[in-house]
Amino acid sequence: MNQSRRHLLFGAAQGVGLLLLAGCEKVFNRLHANQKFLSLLESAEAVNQRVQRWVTRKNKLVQEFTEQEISRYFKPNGQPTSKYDGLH
Amino acid sequence: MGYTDAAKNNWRPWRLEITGLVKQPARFSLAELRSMPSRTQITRHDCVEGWSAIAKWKGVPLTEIMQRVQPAPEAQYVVFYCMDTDGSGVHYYESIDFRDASHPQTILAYEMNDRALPVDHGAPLRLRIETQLGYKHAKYIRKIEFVRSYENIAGGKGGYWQDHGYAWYAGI
Repeated sequence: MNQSRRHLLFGAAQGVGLLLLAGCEKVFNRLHANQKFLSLLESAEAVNQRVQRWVTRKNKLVQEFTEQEISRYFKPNGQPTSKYDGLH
Repeated sequence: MGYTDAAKNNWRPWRLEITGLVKQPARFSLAELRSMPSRTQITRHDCVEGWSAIAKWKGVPLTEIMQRVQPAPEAQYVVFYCMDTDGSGVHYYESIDFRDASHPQTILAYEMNDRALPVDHGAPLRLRIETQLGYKHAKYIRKIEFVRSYENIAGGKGGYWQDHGYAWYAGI
């Protein structure tokens, strides 16, 4: 395959990819605005919870690690602009 | 007294308020929490963003608190109110059910890696709920409330992130 045909195919693939992404965003936005779809997702969450709790023995301990496995860096996640609203 | 001043005073002014559907509401100082039976665990924190990190946590099991305050039979959820806010001034909060509240690895952590819990990680007290993703692990806790339902709290979805579209149950 010569270079110009390769470039043409690569460019076409990029174009198709972008079109697909744009289409996905439209589909996503439509689904996000659809109450029936959102209700379906919420019901899936409930199923997920029931299934996980059914297969997991109550009070089963999660894996614990050794001191040597402690991470050198633990990202202090959260909002960088978070503020502390005093004490109550 | 504000957060920063309390931190400079080793959290002496801070109190953890326990309220809601309980027979014995309480306010515990950090010293009182530290004097209770504790649990130390080295566990992995899994963030919904896709990263994980392992740390050592020491704190009081939530069951110790529950034994002291005696939740009413109609209480179904435990709600954690946080001192920190987002960029718009909305307070973070989170909730769990009694199954997770009673889990032996669910603790209110005041130490991380053998040191006092750092400000960046939620000082003076944060929740560790090892069966769920990181966004459930409320930080900067100031109050715990036992409720029948979380539907009338803030956005009604059981947590700040849930009010913004996240799943309430984040089991792993």
